[in-house]
Amino acid sequence: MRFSLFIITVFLTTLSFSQTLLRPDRVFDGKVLHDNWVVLVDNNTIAFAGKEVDMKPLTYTSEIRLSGKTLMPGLIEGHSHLLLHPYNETSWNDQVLKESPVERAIRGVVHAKNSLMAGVTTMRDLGAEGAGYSDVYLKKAIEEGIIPGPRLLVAGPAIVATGAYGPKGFHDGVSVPLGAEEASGKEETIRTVRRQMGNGADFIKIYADYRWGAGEPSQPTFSLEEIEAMVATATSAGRYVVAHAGTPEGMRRAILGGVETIEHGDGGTLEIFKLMKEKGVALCPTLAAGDAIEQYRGWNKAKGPEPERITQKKASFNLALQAGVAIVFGGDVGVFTHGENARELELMVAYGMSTLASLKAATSGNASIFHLKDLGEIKKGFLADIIAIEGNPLEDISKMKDVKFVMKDGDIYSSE
Amino acid sequence: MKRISILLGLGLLFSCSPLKEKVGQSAIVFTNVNIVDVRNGTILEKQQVVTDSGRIKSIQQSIANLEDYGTLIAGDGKFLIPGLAEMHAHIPQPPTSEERIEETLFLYLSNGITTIRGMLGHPSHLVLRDKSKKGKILSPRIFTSSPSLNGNSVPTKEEAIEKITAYKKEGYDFLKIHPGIQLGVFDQVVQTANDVGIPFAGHVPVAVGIRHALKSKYAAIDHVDGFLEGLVPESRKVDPTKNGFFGFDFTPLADPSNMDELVQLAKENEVWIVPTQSLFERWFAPIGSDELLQQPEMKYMPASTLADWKKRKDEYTGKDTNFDPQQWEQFTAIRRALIKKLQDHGHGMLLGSDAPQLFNVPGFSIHHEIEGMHTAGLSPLEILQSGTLNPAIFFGMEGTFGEVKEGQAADMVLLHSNPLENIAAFKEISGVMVQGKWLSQEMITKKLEEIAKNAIGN
Repeated sequence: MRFSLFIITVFLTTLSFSQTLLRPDRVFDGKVLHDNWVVLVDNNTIAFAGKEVDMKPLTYTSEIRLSGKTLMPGLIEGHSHLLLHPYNETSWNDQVLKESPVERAIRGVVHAKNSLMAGVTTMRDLGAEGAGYSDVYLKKAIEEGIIPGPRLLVAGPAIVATGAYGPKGFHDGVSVPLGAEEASGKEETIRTVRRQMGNGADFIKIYADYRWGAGEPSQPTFSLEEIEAMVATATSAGRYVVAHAGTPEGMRRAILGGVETIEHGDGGTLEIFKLMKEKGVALCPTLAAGDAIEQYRGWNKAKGPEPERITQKKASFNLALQAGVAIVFGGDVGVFTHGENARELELMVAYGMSTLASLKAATSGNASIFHLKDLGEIKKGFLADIIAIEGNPLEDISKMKDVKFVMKDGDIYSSE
Repeated sequence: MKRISILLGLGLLFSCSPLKEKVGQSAIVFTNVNIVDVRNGTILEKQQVVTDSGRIKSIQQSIANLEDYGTLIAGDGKFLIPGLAEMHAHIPQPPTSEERIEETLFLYLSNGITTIRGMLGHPSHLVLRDKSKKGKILSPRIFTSSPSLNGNSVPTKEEAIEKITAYKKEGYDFLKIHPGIQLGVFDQVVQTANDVGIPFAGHVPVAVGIRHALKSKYAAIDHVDGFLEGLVPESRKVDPTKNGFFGFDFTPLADPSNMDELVQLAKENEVWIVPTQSLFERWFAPIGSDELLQQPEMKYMPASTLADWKKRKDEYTGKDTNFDPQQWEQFTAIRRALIKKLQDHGHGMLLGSDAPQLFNVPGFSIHHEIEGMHTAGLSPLEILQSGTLNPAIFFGMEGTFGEVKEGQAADMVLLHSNPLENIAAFKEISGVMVQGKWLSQEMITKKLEEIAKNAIGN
């Protein structure tokens, strides 16, 4: 550990103000695959990407050979919870009730590093889940170079309709730290959005539906008017709203209310997905979360019959693809182990997307949906967030688990 | 056809009637083999399957005088399935050399395909079909379409009548419909085909449209052609000729909620579907041509063919085209949903990959098709049925081939593991029997090496 930190430090010093040529077997530029490309990194930006013969002038101070590897933009994770760890270690309720925000932030430091080492150079974190604004402070610590981690876009506490969210099961006299902030009515929801933005939220996450009682099916929560009010408040501040939603009605209200992405979307119907397509709302399916939870419940994936929830999820995901809805790469990592983000990519492919589309979603696709102008592509002028994968992930998506090289903002964090 | 089967039947009678336990030298026995029942997916364990004179003579628990049999094939732990059908095959025609044509037929066999449905007929195929029937060449069972009926070949009703009558007389098994036929001429094609008694199948011309095509009772629609176009609501008022590659350009306009109506029409009119999904996941897909060329099976194709494939694929989906991978995702999701619904609620599916067509090497491409159908949500048993039992039903030959049953054709594939548990098992072939002839793994490998060698120079 200390040794690798030492190496990182050495790299950091040698790389400063230098031009480094990266020479992999192939380059996936975020959109298509190119053979025989080289990529020149100048300080923290990409100075050239293309065939070496086209590079002028042909000067660089160091060269890194990435033989047998595919170079690509750093992954942009679309739905993470750095302040959660797998539910088979500690249930969500116990994490919110028994682990202090301090403990959770300490864990978050490790999660951030593991994510970066897994090739995730940007992360949209979807809520601190009861840990206040710890995500905002994690982001600050990363930006100031105190700890390694991805670029973060954070939601802060997130907003739920009064009474809807957990932990549940306590009588009314018990004051429970909730997994998100409660609000009701236009005035209060507007105030909550403003407060969260003021405290550092990059975007607003709302819960458009939830289980009102433990074990119940989800029901819609916010009214359309409330959602519209929150969206208007966020957009006038140059931010946007995303919605947790899995019921058709919850999704419908969120879409019509003007959110930018729907998270989960398990119960989406063809009508709903067509509406999403029409309104330009993207779907973050979080396939890996459902897959993990069913396994925590005892599903033996190798031998056991496929649980109903998985079958349904495959079907609704396929309806979204049929409707042509843009798909966000985001696995709800935190429900499962940080650093295993590639599980979502494997499932996207297993559930019917092409490898190319899944990799696009994880790079240029998410960059465009999240309004990240200079990320997600290997292209001149873009920020030098670059990773290299052993072999060719376009032929075998499971290769995405084998990240051999990570550069963020021109700094090398991991290299063989 | 009928005459041949009577002859074979007589042969069977002579060979087995008087001497019950005695057997000829030509008999072959698969010992202790697990038989896959394609009707219900059950496994009949540890059976002795006796074949002779091109038929399955008996299936028994045990055989007393096993030593009397000429050839024993150890089936222990292995699985016997009926030979597969490639329901969208192309048989080369002159000027392709006779040698290459026979090599192509062998490529099918090498992957367990013992029946092919030739989709672009030529007079030479009638001769080939005859040779195959008589066992003069090593070949799968052949069914062949007529030469193409398309906008150019049948511009008028008169020409349709004339050609169809001739094709029937010449002995083609069915008519191949291609794009371009005008509606009035198409209706004449249907009428004449019904009058002279020849089925028709293939593409759906845009002037005809899927609904009219289904109601006209195609025997089979290949490529799921016309369905995507049929999902576009009429209110969109699209120009039907602007549909692009199999409706690709209409993808954003397609309304998947119209699927059920089309599937119901397929069922009511008993129209079989040959998906050829392999085409849409390889040739017409966001995969580089160079990546496909690296696949090991490409070595069995002549170098000139591979160069042509690359050129044509690059023209369709290459970097300089406006092929939109995002739209392809939607297109493919719709196709897969259609295939699944046609399986569940339509008339039935037939296994066909379209080979040789771009990057579909005969025989080998069937495994891509199997994967494609599996990804669409079909079970391994449903896929197996689409390549065995369903083709037999389709050709009105149920009971003659398509099952491992006494009295049926000795067209079988011996697999190392159970394909119903894992579709990859279809590729792990221990040997193929066609018309009672046993092609061992060693023999297949050796012959494939020869074919690869011949392909380099061509």
